[in-house]
Amino acid sequence: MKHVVLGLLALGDRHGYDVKRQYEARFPAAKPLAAAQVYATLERLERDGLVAQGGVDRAGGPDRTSYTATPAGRAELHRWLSEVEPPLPYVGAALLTKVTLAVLVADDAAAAGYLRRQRAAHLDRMRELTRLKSDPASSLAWVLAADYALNHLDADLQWIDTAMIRTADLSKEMRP
Amino acid sequence: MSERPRTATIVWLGARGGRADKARILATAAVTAVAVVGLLSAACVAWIGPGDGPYTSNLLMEPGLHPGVVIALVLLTVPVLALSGQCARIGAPARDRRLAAYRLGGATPRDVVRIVGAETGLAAGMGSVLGAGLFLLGRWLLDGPTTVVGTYTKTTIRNTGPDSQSILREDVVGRVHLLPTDVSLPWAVVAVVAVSLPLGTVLFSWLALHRVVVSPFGVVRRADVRPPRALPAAFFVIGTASLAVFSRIRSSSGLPNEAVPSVVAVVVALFLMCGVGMILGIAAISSFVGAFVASRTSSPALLIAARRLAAAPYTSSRANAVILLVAMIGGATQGVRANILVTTDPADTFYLDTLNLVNVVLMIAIVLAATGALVHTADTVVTSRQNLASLAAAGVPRAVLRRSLLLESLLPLAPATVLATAAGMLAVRGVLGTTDTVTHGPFRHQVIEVVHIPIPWIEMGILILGTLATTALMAWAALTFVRRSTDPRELRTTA
Amino acid sequence: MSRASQLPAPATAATISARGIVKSYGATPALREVSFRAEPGEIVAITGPSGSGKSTLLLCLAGILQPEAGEVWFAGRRIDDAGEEARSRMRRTVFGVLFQFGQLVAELTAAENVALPLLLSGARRREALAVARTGLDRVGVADLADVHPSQMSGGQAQRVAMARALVTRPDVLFADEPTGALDSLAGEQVLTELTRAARQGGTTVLLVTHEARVAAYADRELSLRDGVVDGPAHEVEYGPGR
Repeated sequence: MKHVVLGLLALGDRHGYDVKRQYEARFPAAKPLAAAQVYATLERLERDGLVAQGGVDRAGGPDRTSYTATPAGRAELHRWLSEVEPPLPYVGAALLTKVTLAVLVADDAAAAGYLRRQRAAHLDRMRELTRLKSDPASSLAWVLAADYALNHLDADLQWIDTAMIRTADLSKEMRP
Repeated sequence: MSERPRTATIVWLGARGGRADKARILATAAVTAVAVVGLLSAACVAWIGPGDGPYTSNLLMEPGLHPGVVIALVLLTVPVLALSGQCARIGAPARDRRLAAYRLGGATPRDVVRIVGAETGLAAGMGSVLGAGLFLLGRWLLDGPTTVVGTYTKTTIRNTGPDSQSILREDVVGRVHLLPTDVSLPWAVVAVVAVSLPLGTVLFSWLALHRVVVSPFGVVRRADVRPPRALPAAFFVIGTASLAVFSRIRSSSGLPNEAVPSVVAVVVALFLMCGVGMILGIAAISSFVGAFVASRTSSPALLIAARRLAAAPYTSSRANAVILLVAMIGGATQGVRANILVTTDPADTFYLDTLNLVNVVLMIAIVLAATGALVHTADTVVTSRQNLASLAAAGVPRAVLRRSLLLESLLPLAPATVLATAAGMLAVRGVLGTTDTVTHGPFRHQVIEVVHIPIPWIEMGILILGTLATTALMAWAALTFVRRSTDPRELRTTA
Repeated sequence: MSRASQLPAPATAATISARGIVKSYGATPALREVSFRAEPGEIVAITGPSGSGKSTLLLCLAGILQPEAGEVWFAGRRIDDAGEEARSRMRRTVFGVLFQFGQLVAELTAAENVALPLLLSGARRREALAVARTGLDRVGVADLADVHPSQMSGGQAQRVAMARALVTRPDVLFADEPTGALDSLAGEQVLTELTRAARQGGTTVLLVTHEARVAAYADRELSLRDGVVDGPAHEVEYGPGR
């Protein structure tokens, strides 16, 4: 959050409400920001010396304090931009947790059964989405959304398929 | 709608090919035409009757020599027919793929057989009609200019008693034919020749079709990788060895010393065994030479050539088989020539003239057989263009590719030609013997002399080097296609 | 909707089924007693990892391969023991086949390729080509009628191949990884057209694939693993899955 506000201020001096509007213009599909959240963030940034208050703009309305990014703020922004995002640092999807626990608590046959049912459920959902996508009446927004979901479900299914082979191999190993 | 495709559809699908298919149809037609002309010429000589002639050549004047001339002409059609077989292989992989694609499109095996029959029959039929037409036209056109006034030897045979004849030879001046253009050939003979050749070609093409008919998917997706067998090579060795020691076996086993039918049959069978063994065994030689050279050479051209040989020994052996057959017959002919020249009167030029004529026929046969190598190499260059293009793209110079293609045809051919020529020679020496007797002197005072028949080293050398040089020249001529086949655009071709 | 209210399908309906199919390549078993049944108009995905025998099953059902044991039935007749001629004739009349690539005749134009099964069944050239053009139009490639396969993209070639497979309005369409050589968008178009055309014509489709997103176009899935049907026997569905 703090880096998003810093980044928007780096584009030019703005007052709080303007920051919110800019955010919505740049990231239209994201959840809108609450104004209070923006002001709180600006206060915190000012306290840390990353932004400073600029002039007061009173033209045609109530007083508005505009903010500007300090050199320290710009340095912090660039440090953050150059930092690599850790790729999926914690793997903890519900599907994974369930299968792992099934293997540990029950046995691999139970895990395989669970995987098979999950696979069927995934494929059912994929059929539904495919039908939706193939329907000439569907809008582009829906086709895009279906594509996104299908790709993720497909990734899950590929994992399930591999996991099924692995648990089968595991049971072969244990019962030669 | 009837169940079977219409004839128009069959003919259309048969004729609907690419550039290579058109080349194959034209080549088949041309070669069939040549074969028809050859066979009709042979028939013409065979049909020379007592009322025909006279001719300038003794070969045509002496009825006793006619079978020899006919056999020579018929034998000459063997390399022509083999060339036709080679022509049938032009673009064969692409055609097999096309036929397999027809099969995937719902064609039944019988449909494919009909399609191929239509294509080959059309090509060979066209050639046959063309050949017969050319022959008849040629006879009519040449009859005037080749009938000249000159001297010829007239032989009169008169029965002077129940068991005796007198033969009168006299030189006469009169109208004489260079060629037997005056022989009236029955139309039935022309028809039989003109129909049987295309029919044979169609039958042959059906035999070669087996794989496509049986497994269309195999043709589309896999190449054939049978390892060649060594058994034919054993046939060749045994046949040659038996012929080489033939006269010794004959004298020890008490078989008659004359050319009685049983002895002739055994000799012919052994010759066939040799020839067939060699034709089928050349694949084993190719495979062996390829593997042997490939694991030792450090020359890139040699390595590519050897690996290609080892990978596909059958493709090159098909082209080489006829060359080797001709080389073997050539070796045998030189053996016979040495024998005849030693045992006959050097003053009589008839034998030398005839033997020289035989050598001319042999040279024509070698050129025809080597034309098969041209067809084969050109086809190789065109069909493996994706491979060649990728080698060129990987930085192999075109000169290296050209050398490797030349080596690919010569590598197995060089040792095999030496073997084949030697086998022919050995066989003749084994059958006719290495010594013979010559009688000199006047009647009742004749001296019988035992002469050794020399091995005609020089003739053999000329034969071997000539064969290899002709083949190399033909293969080299085919390499003009290399530049086009190494175009980077060929990397994308799938056929 | 209760099952009882539906009339049972007549014995001659275009149902394709297999019982106890066994097939091996040399010493390697590909199918070990596989049974299967598809009702008319059903779209079934045959899935499994590579080497599971899914393509072999398809080729056996289409009469391209002959199984060593077991039976293949179509429309109330046994077809696996028929001769090669008869099976070839079925492939150009009541069956359609669609492969990953390489099935079009390179020397023929798109329209001629599509007309081929009709011509082989004895149709006149003019009529066959007219039907072929309609078929090309139906899968959206009418403009390719006079183009040769080498001048087409992979997706276009697959659409032409699909038009050919459907030109005789077959009862069963056998498709082996039909989008395996295509990018995902081209593959999606081919599959959309394929399922649409099949549903319109009441054609049964057997779709071999290793991809879940392709299998999602089918009504149900038959999963193979190591030459047998995957999963406990009671989970294997028979009959209409819709």
